[in-house]
Amino acid sequence: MRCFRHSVLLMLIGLVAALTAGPALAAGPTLTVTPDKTVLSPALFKEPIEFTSTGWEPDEAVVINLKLPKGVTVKGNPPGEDVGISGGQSDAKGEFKGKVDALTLLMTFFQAAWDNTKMKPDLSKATPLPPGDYTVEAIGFASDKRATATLTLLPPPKKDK
Amino acid sequence: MKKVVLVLLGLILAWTLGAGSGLAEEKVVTVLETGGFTGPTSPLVVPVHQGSKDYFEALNAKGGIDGVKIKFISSDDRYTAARAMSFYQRYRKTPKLATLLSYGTPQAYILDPIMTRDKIPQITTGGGKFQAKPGYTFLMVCPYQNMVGSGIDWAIADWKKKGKSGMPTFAYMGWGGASGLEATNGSNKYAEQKGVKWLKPVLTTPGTLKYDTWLTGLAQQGVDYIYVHMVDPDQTFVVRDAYGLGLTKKIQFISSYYGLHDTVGLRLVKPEVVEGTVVASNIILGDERLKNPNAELWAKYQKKPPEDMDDSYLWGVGNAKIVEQALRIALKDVGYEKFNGQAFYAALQKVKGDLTQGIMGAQDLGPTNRQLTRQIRYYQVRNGKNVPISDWIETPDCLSLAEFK
Repeated sequence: MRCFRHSVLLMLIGLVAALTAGPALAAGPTLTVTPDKTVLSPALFKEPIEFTSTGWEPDEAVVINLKLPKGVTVKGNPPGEDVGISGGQSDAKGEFKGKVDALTLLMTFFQAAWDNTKMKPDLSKATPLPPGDYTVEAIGFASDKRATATLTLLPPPKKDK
Repeated sequence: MKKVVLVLLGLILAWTLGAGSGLAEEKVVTVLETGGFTGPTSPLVVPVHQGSKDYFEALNAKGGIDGVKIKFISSDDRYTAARAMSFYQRYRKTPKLATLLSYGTPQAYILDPIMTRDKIPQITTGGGKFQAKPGYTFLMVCPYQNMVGSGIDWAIADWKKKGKSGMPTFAYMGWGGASGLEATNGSNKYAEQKGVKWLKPVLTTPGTLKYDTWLTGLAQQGVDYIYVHMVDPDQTFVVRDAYGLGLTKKIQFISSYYGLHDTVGLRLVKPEVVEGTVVASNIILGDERLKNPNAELWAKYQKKPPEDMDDSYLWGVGNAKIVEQALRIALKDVGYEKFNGQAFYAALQKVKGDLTQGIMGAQDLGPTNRQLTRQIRYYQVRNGKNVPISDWIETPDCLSLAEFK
């Protein structure tokens, strides 16, 4: 009888261990933003913001969205909706690498207006994203899994008098 | 006791208003649309969108398709693929989702594998890859390389008509990126096959201010024909700069679809600057567009003078009419309850005939044809207007000469 109770106890301990270890064993995707803190400047055209993400299915389509803080609007984007800033496919190992390309930097981060008569950006009417912490979220199309990270847009450095 | 009764009443109320109530629910299918409403493609995308939106609105006002209305949801992706991807991710599980219209090659490339997996067809612009390997992406226009191939054929015919011997020297000038790569992939070999001297393509960026350096370089290489593939007014500005350099006297310029449009580029320069430019178009231009019966939609919904109707407005109407026909076929084949993207995909491949009332060439879709039309029409700018110089012409096959990964 004692052996039976011990067996049951051991089984229960094993079951609890499996249940609590489950989430840790099946870890979700990860997302890293580099740099995670930056001033919004033209230097980002040469050294763009990059994303590294793991834990996806092989060859899975992944989109990276910028979640907008309350009160922040982006040209062309309905209020309250996330805005896409990068995307592509993961590789055979389920790893994804992307970046904020030049057009996205210009049209989403700097929010340049567009002069249709001259067919060029109108930076005089640009309304860049304000400084602050922005949540960046990666979403996998096949798995519906998500991963988040934070991108901090720093205030521009103060000019020396 | 009172609380129990109230809860029961609430449950009964919820049940009667639920699916099993028998109360009529509006029947709706959804069509998505993404494109640059602001940015380099906006002169094209905004009127196309207006045309489709107005057509669907008119169709819904008449009761839709046998009582099924079309919900048209659009997104400004500012010509960035990431925004198009984000938009589709948000709406991809919408019930009765038929298709997505996408205006941009980068967007089409990134969405193709996703929508293929979802079994929802995409209808996009001219990436030839989607015709070379038929799948879930359909093309609103002839593939770009076939379009350029047609320009090569036009140049050869024009060269001979002028009594010149040998073959002309031909150059391609267009935006870099996916669109430019597609346009020259296959057309380069087509030129070679025909004995035409093909110069190294000039790839520019949208919004380039002046084209003098490139034009001078091409002139120095003895070019006879320059094919310009951008979005108006960029190609108008190319011809403007060529005129300023005196090059339009000896070089014939050919514009691809998307320019020189009557209400865009042609309004920005004096008529003599662009006189004689040839325009290869997927839709009717000039006075022909004003005479098309669908032009009445512009007056009714946009409430602006007819001469302000952008050429691309009727393109949007034409696309909407083709979508309508495919919806009719799908709803007839499977019924509303079973309607889905797969049914629309199958139906699109049965669309045949002149569905657009002459706005674009005839439709002949099928299991191996993903092009909403295989035809283009040539115009020439005369006294500031697009005047037709050909009927609808089938474009040559440059896709078989293209290389796709």
